[in-house]
Amino acid sequence: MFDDYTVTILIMMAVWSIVTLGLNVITGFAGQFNLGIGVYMGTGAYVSAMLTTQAGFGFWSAMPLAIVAAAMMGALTGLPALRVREDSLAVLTIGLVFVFESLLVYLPYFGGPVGISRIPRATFAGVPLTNNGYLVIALLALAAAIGICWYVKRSWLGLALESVREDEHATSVIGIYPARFKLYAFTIGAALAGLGGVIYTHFIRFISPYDFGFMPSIYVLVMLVFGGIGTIRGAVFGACLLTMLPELIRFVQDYRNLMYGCVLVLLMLYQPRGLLGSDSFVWLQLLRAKNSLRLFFTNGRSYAQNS
Amino acid sequence: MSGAVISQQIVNALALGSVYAMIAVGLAMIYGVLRILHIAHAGVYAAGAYLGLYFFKVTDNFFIALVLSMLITGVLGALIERFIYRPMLPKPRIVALIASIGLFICLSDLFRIIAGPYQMAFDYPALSGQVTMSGLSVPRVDFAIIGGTAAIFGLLWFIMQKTNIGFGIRAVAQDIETAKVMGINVDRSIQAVFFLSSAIAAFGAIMVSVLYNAVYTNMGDMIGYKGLALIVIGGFGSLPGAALAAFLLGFAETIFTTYSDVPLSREGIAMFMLVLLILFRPQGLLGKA
Repeated sequence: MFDDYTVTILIMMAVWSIVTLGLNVITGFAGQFNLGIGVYMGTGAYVSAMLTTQAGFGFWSAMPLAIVAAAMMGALTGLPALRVREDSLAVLTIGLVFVFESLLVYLPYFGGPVGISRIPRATFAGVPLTNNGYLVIALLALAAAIGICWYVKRSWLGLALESVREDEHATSVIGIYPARFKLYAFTIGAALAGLGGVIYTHFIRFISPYDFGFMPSIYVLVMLVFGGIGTIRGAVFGACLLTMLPELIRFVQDYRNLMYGCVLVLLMLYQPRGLLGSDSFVWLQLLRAKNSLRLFFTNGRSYAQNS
Repeated sequence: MSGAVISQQIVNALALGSVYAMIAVGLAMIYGVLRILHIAHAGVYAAGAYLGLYFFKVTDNFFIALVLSMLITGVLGALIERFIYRPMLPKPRIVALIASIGLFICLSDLFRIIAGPYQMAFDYPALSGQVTMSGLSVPRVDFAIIGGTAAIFGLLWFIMQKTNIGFGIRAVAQDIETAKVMGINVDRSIQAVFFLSSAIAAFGAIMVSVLYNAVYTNMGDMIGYKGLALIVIGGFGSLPGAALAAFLLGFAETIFTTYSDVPLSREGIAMFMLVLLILFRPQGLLGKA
């Protein structure tokens, strides 16, 4: 279908999209700062890697356990997060990701600084999958993640999360207990990030603690903010674009961090809602284009008259 | 374990704590007036070290280099406030935080492009080497760090308590709107805070580069993250709290790395302290609930 290089980029785009969607549930929907999404991605990746290399599990039986483990990690780290807000929470999550990384490095049980290697390929019906086959699994996982996010956003849970984000006091006054919904957000977001970690692990097949440290967590945040925080399309768009860009333009690869940093600062100065966020310039233009297209095809009658 | 070893460790811990305190107090001052987490302080810190090294090579005079670097880094900090943070103040809190992260990523890559990815030596013979007295062997620069920190904090205390600028800063930290109504030049006070904290960071950075004889692109990273952890541990916006937390961390790191084999890196200790403290005392050591 595609050559290996293209497939690799596509799979990485799917992986980072899933993780960014996870962060979007925590930071975008529920408004809880999190600079340590790597903890959850790493939990999913490490649990799956340990189960398949040491306990003889297969890809399919290890995946649900890894996702549950990541969700539990989310609930566990969500507990201290209930006590603090905003800035303290941002610093706390930085702290958590460093503790997580240094525990993985210093405990020989987890392979220490060299990490875990020789992780088996994913199989389907007993046959190891090729890269093309794995791409299908990655895309299915991405579709599932998008579906979950869409459901969360549309359901009453999404409404409750949004009200927690906008005003915690008012939320508790109308009978929604903010702590509970913050925990839900952490659990769902962590489970999604864990799913991303599982997909990542069985594709790269070699993981080290530094793959899930502070800088990768920051990159995920950059992707989310770049695309548009709080929106599903923004999360997927940001993750895909920023994964693809360094591959497309060699120049960008050498100055990747400089460019990321400048773009982030400029975006925050002029388009704080990201490229495809709710009332960003590009999104408004797209909506306007859609409207004029509709008018064009309905011979200038407005949508209301047409229906 | 002899008394000499213990006093040696105490000097080490004090010097380490002093460096942390310089960063943490700067961050706490900035948080105090603007309520933002200035993650890019790590980049400002590295800029101070690079500027100091540059001026030291050009002028060959350590003190001129130190003063020039502190002044220019201070101006750099004030410029960051003027052109990046000030337009963002009315927007949601996460905007300034993410811009700060972006600036931080940008700065450390800028140093790599300008100065090269390799570690550079900062060799100042008058401060390098060890002092040996009665069985005690301590890096000479440790004394410069401790003395310099005492002098800087004394000066900072004087500025904050006895001058008009300090009065303005304290007023702005309490309530920006009321300060403005009372006729205080809010913008000038905020600029002064950024200038002071960046200059202090430059001093700390130059001292650390002499201590380890190294200037490199991401030298500020770890100390910057620890500084953020320290202002949370100390209680947000509390300067004595930040300084106290910094010295506690200096001692904790010295003790843990010397006498125990807990499975935590030096970085892990500060962050572990942070997580534990937030669980039991979310308002910080000296913060008000």
